[in-house]
Amino acid sequence: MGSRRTHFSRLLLWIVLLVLAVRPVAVVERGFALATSPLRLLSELARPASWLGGRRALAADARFFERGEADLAEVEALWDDLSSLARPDRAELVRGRDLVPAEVIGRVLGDRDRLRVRVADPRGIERGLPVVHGETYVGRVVEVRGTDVEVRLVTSPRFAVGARLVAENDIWMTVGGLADDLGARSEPGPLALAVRSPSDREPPDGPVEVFELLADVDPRGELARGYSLGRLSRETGEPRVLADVDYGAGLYHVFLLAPEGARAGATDELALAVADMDWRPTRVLVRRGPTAWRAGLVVSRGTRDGVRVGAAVIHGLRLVGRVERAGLWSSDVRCLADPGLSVVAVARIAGDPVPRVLGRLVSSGRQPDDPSRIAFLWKVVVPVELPADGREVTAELFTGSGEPGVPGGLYLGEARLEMRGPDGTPRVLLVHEEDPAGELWVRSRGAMDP
Amino acid sequence: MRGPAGVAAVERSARRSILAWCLVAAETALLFALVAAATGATGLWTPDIGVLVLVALAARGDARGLWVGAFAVAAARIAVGIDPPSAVLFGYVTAAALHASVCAVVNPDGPLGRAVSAAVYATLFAAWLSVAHALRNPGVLGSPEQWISGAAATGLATGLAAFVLVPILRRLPGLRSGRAGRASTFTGPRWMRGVPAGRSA
Repeated sequence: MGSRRTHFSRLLLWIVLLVLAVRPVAVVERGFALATSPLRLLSELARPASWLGGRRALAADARFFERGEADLAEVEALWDDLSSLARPDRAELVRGRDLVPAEVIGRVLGDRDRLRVRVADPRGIERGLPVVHGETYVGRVVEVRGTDVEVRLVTSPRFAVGARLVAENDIWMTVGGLADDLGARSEPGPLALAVRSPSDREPPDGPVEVFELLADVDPRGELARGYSLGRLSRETGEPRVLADVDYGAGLYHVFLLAPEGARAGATDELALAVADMDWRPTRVLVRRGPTAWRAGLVVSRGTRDGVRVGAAVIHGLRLVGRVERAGLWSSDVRCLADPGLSVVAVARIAGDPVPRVLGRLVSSGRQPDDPSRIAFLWKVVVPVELPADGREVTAELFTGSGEPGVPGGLYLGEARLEMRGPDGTPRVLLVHEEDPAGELWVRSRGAMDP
Repeated sequence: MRGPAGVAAVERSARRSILAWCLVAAETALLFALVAAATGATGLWTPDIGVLVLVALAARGDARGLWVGAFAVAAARIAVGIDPPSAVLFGYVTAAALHASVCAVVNPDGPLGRAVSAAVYATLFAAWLSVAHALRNPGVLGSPEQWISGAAATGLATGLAAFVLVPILRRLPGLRSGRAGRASTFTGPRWMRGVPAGRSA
């Protein structure tokens, strides 16, 4: 009887482990990370082995992060350029409004359609203010907590905004939510916003802009009048609006539209996140793990130090990787070469003054034929205009913002952008030899929690 | 009924046993890290120390010992790697269960038997980790042929290392004392048990 019970409990454990291994549950994963925290002692014991695995950073990278303050100046310049890209400049879209710059710092937990943005000064910021990116309307403010502001995106199923076809002044509609189930999307491409109650059942294709007819529904909607929502298309039958920004991974800076004069005396100078104090120095306990094709580290900071899953680990201003699991006293870090690691990225293309928002890159590991390069799958949602013939260009890559724990402006490395990789899909080849030896820093809680 | 002396003896034995398993986990973690650092350049041709320790344990421990050993080895690998803990635990528990089943039918404790069984478990374990990673990160890991060739390389390296390393691992502290050091019960097929030594059925 006892033996049967033992067999049954072992079988049950085996099944539970199998299910958890292939279908991770966030709560259970956190539980595992905490339960295995005491293994930090074993990691410490294994630490001498990491001295064998230390390698020098690639000369080009070393050049970059040894320049000290010059690096910071370069990141600041990049950030200013990106902020400028997000700033509307057409006179009729700016007149009568105060433009408040905000940096995207993440999403609300469990809700991809709610952005968390940070402003320099909350004066004059209130619920309902429209939020734009360039000349595109992206959502409205739903909550203000000091300098942290929550924005509901136009992709939310609970969102609706009045709109009209630019060319046909008498065709009105309501736009909000997605037209397709995201999970059912088979090919990358622009997101389609749902169109409800069009005044004409068969509207012609063309650009759609915000035009709120009912001031009671959206009192601040007037401020967003004339901003673009995308292009109306009836290719698939039902009318839908094809968005012209990447809502998933392409929003790093946005502007809040406040009534003119509402923010008298407020400052708009945003502090650079990479230069703030939310970093902790950390030691590498294990430099190379037992699984040869994975690239990871075990570092000596955990949740007790404010480290959370997703936090950036850096060397100088260069991104080394992101925390995969955070135990109490140590954390597992996935490096850039680890297949499956994802970052949002910005490219500085040689000879091109305008930085390009690339969106999400997913590592597929080191190239078998050239281990000094890491291949990234490039999920192009909004087409990127590349100079020359656009097939292959060289650029310096930096992180974009919008992911908790990974501030924008961290250096990724030199890369080749290919719109057509070997399998016909876009990819990015990052020059990256070994992960750097020396002092690492990990992002801590202050910057990550709502 | 045990007297006070008996209870104390059981407690002492339990303490020794816990210490022995802690030693096994610590030694395995250090070996994992050393082998990974030393064989960095050889990439996929890295033997799986966890499987080798399990095979070494199987020759000297009882069935329960193998089960606990799987947990100790998994703990060591989780401490020095970034693979998902649930996948690592599942892999080593499965390897231990497989080995226990094999030992119930044949005695794999000769050099060749150890090498073949280590190679098979290491191949399966490496392939399993690739599958688990691919399921967690769809579309980023290469083709199944790549996984299979990678897993086979790990298996072959582990099989070859078993010839040299298993006899050494069996002499490590923790693997030869306490509960982990009990005499083997895997003495051959079940139908042979009870047959006097030197005679076959």
